[in-house]
Formats: sequence, structure tokens, C-alpha cells
Amino acid sequence: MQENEFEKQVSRLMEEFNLTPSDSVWKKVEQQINKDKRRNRWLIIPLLLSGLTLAGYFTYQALHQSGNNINKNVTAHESQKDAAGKKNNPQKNNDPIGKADILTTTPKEENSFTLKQQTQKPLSKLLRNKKTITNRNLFADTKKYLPSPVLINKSNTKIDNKEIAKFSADAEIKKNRQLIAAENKQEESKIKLLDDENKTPNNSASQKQFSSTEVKDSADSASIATSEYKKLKTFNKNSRKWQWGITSFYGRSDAVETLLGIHFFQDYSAADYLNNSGQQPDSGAIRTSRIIKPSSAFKLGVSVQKQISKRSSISFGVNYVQLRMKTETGIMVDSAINVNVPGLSNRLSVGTFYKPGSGNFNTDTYRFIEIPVIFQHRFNNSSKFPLYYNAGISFTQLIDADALFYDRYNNIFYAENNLLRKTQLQFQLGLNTSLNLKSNTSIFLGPQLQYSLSNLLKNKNFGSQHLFNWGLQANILFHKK
Amino acid sequence: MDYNRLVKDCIRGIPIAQRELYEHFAPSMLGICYRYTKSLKDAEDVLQEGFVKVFTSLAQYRFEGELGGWIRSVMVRTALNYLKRNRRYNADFSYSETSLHPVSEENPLVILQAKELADLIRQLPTGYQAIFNLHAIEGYTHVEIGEMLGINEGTSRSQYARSRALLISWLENHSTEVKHQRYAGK
Repeated sequence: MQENEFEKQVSRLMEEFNLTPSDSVWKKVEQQINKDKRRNRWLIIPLLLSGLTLAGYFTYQALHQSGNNINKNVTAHESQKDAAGKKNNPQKNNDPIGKADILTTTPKEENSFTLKQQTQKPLSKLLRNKKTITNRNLFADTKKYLPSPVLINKSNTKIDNKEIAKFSADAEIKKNRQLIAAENKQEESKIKLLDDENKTPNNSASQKQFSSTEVKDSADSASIATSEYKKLKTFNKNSRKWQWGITSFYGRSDAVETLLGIHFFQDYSAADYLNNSGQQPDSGAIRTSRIIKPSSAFKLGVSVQKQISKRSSISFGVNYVQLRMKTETGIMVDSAINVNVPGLSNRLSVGTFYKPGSGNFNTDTYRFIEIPVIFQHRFNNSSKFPLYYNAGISFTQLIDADALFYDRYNNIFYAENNLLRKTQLQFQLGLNTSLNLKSNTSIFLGPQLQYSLSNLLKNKNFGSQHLFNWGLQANILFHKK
Repeated sequence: MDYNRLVKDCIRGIPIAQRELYEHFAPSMLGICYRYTKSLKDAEDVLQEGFVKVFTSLAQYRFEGELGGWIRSVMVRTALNYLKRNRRYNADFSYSETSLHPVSEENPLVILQAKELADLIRQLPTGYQAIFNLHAIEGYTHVEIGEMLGINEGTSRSQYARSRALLISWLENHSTEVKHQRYAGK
């Protein structure tokens, strides 16, 4: 026991030993903490982006693979059909698409025969794969590969170049019509066009050339057109199905008293109040929008969209939303006080609170789950640069808040989540354009703003605070095959 | 002071709370860092590193035990890492694996000021200094010290005994000098 006496003395003496560090230590500590924060932020953003990219890639792969399988099946089915058709009626096809079937090459040019493959594609496939059909002179291009094609009818009678030219012109006109229709995505008119074609075959010149096969050709043409019609119908049906996507948003968020910061009462600032300290603060002593500074906002979620007309669509989704703001306060008072809250019978106990003032910024964070319902409409005709506007409402549920809020009644700041309105109704508005990444993936990108119609605070006496955020929204949409 | 509230605010990244925490604990923590190092500049380096660790790992604080104790343990570990990492200390920071050494029985009355005692402790070789601080002041057992420094419990004991004996002899010399000075002064 005696042995410990020395240690006790030393320990007691050392407990009292304090030294005042130089000011530079705190500056370095502060600098390093902020650097760590920034480093974490930069770590999170690439992780989020890479996660989003990976998810998009795998989804694309999955959808693309299933699409390829369908296409393969369709092509196999068509080639079987063609083979059967040729067997029964080698001189088939009055339809311009099918006309390539009767284009053959001389034995010398067997290798250059590519037209058949291109023109045999079903219209629905052509519509899907726009890149392959954007060249309107498809037929003209094939002439390069077929310098002197010879057209042969059932009776193996050779047809001269003039007839081929006529035939080519007819086919080209027809194809152009289909291509234009595809580009404009006017499915209704396309179906009508095909119907018209079925009813009144318009290439009479060709019909005259192939008078011996007129009846069979018409029948065959009709059957092909019907199959195309069915495929188009399926296409239309698919385009009207629910499509899913990923929504992401990054921007700034703020808490404002009114939309666009329009105020209808006298303007006071924190400084005004502080100069008049000792007086009872009146409601409206401090302008909330001055105290709260905007900070980062982001959201991430999934959505489903349905085309409701040629130009309009409606979408629903579920998003995780995080809004941040900076609140400028004065000094922190670290003592428990009981504050009167109008409407509450019991006084509210607050452990720590902040006085109004300037120089100190606290980061407030609000986390929500959001369910948006958005209507989107396209208002131009450009296929290259389509423009849309969207408007909608969203129901948001506060899941967590780590925020100081300004209690106007007591003129202090404190954190008390129970005084926040958990369910909010928000209005959102945006503009966007769509970029087609692949045949089955498109991105809708544009500015978006969101304003909370509900007051952030339950108690009206604390004043009016509405969440307001704005930024860039990207919606990646995966089309179904 | 409501430490729980302060810690929560620090976790939320409120600068004023962080400053508050720093200002409250920095003087005593610098005292600790001072005892483990050989210069005030090094002590401040350890203090800075330690507080960065405190703020970044404050979420791990379970609100069990004193906040000061938790920060202190962070500082001590930071100081030990600093000694191991820094070449100036590393050369002197080795332990010979020797057998148990009897602890000296002397218990002189410490008549020094805190600063003087801290300066005497700092004059010990780095290895002795660390073990003396850990056992005599922080109250760690030799088993714990052995784990912290990666040495045997016996080595810790013997090193401690030597450091203690050395310090006591210095204290005695110091008190003799003081007596002489007083006598001469009279």
C-alpha cells in the first residue's frame, strides 16, 4: 500500500497539470475535420454513381439479351415462312419489302447480295432499330452492291433495267413512307398506312409487270401486311405498358417563408432583434429565409412510367430524399430550459439551444421518403431534341431530421423533431429533354424544382417555413421489348 | 456541462460544439501529450492528431463512462502511435526483454510543482517514460501495457521499476538542491 503512495501523489499532481495549446492547433484540427468531411463526400458520390451505372448496365444487358432472343425467334420464324412461301409460290411478294425476295443476282454477283437481308427485316424490328433505317436511300444504297440486278419472274423472263428502275422507285417511295412514319413514331398513322396498303396496292406499275402473279402477290402482300400490323399492334401495346426507371436528383435545398421569397410583412433581421435585446420578441422578428442558407439536396429512387397518349405520360415512384441547409445562429447556450410552445399544455424541455446571431453555421439535414405522381407532356415535334415539361405532386414522409429550427415564439433555435410536420405535400415542376442511349434505354434530363405546400413546422406560431429545392434531375427509363 | 448534448452536436458536425469540446478538454489533454513527448511542439502535434481522431470517431463513444476518460484514452493511444512512428522517439523506444526487477521501496514526498514533475518525467528515456506514464498516472496494469506496447508483462514491470527508481533518485536530488538553496537563501 505504501508503494502506491508515490504513484498517488504523482497522479494527483499530474491531474492538475494543464497547458494551453496555441491557436494554430485548433485551426489545424478544424481544417483536417473539414477535409475529412469533404473526402467522405467525394467518396460517396462516385460510389453512388458507380452503383447507378452498374445497375443500369445489368438491367440493360438483361433487357437487351431478352430482346435479342425475341428478334432471333422472329427472324427464324420469318425465314421459315419465306422458305415455305417460296416452295409454294416462288414468284411471291408484291409488297415492296417483300419484293427483294424476287431480286436475285447473276451467279457472278452472289456475294454482293445484301439487299435481301436488309429488306426482309420486319417493320417492327426496323422501328426498334432506328439506326439501321435512318438512311432513307436504303434501296439506292443497295444499287451500289447490285450494279446490274436482273429481275426474274416466275416464268424466268428477264426484266430490263427500265422496269427495275420503275420497280426501285416504287419500292423506295414506299419504304420512305414507312421510314418517315417510324421516325415520327406515329403508330396510329402507320397502322392506317399499312391498312391502306392492304386495301389498295399502289404500285400499279409493278402489278402490270407481274400481271401473271397479281392475285397471289396481293394475297401474299396482304398476309405480310397483316403480320406487320399485328407486330405493330404488339409494339403499340408494349409502348403503352408500364416502364420502369431510375430517378436521381442533385441540387440545392432551402427553407423559405413563401414561394419565390415574396414577403408581405415588415423586414427584420437577426441583428435588428439583437439590438433591441431585452424586449419581448414579436412574431416576425427574424426572417427565416435570411437565417437559413441553401445547401445540398439529392434524391435517388425508382419510378414507373406509362404512356397515356402520343405525347403524354404519367409516372409514379418511390424516392429517398435528403435535404440539407445551413442555419446561421449565434452562440450555443448549454443549459436546459423549459420553453412555452403555443398549443402545447406542457412546457417543452430543451437541453441546448442557440441564440440568434451570426457567424455560426449548423448543417441541418432532413431525410424523406417521397412518392411522386408526375404528369409529363412533350411540347415540340423535334425527334432529335424533344422537349418535355412535367408537373406533379409528391407525398413525402419525414423519416429522420437532424436539424435546428427557429422557434419564432421564443426567439431561439433548437432541435426538436416532434415539432416538425412529418407528412408533407410537395409540388414539383420541371423541364427536360430525352436522350436515347440505346434502343431500349433513354435518359430524361433537365432542371427540376420542388416546393413544399405544407408548413415544415406544425405550429403556426413559429412562422411559415417551406422546403424548396431545385437542381438537375435525371430519369433513366428502360423500355420494354 | 451537458456532455451528451455536446457529443451529439459534434457528431452532427456543428462547428461551435466542436470548438466547445476542444476548448474544454484541450488544456488537460495537452498536459497528457506533454508527458509523453519531449517537446511542446510534438505535444501539440499529438494533441492535434488526437482531436482529429476524437471528432472522427466520436460516433463510437457509447455514452458509458466519462467523456474525459474516453478522450484521454484516445490521446494516450495517439501519443504511443506517435512515439512508435517518429524516428526521434523510435530509436529510444525499445525494451530489453529482461526478467522481473524488484520495485524500489522509497516513497518520497513529492514537493514539486506539476510542471516540474512533468519535466522530470520527460527526461526519462522514451521507453521508461511511456511505461511510467501508463502505469503510474493513467493506471493501466502491466498486462494492459504489455498488450499496448507489444511487450511482455515482465518487461513492463522491470522497465517501470527502473523508471520509478530513476525518478525517485532525481526527486531526492531535486529536494536536496531545494533544501540547499533555501539554506543558502537564509
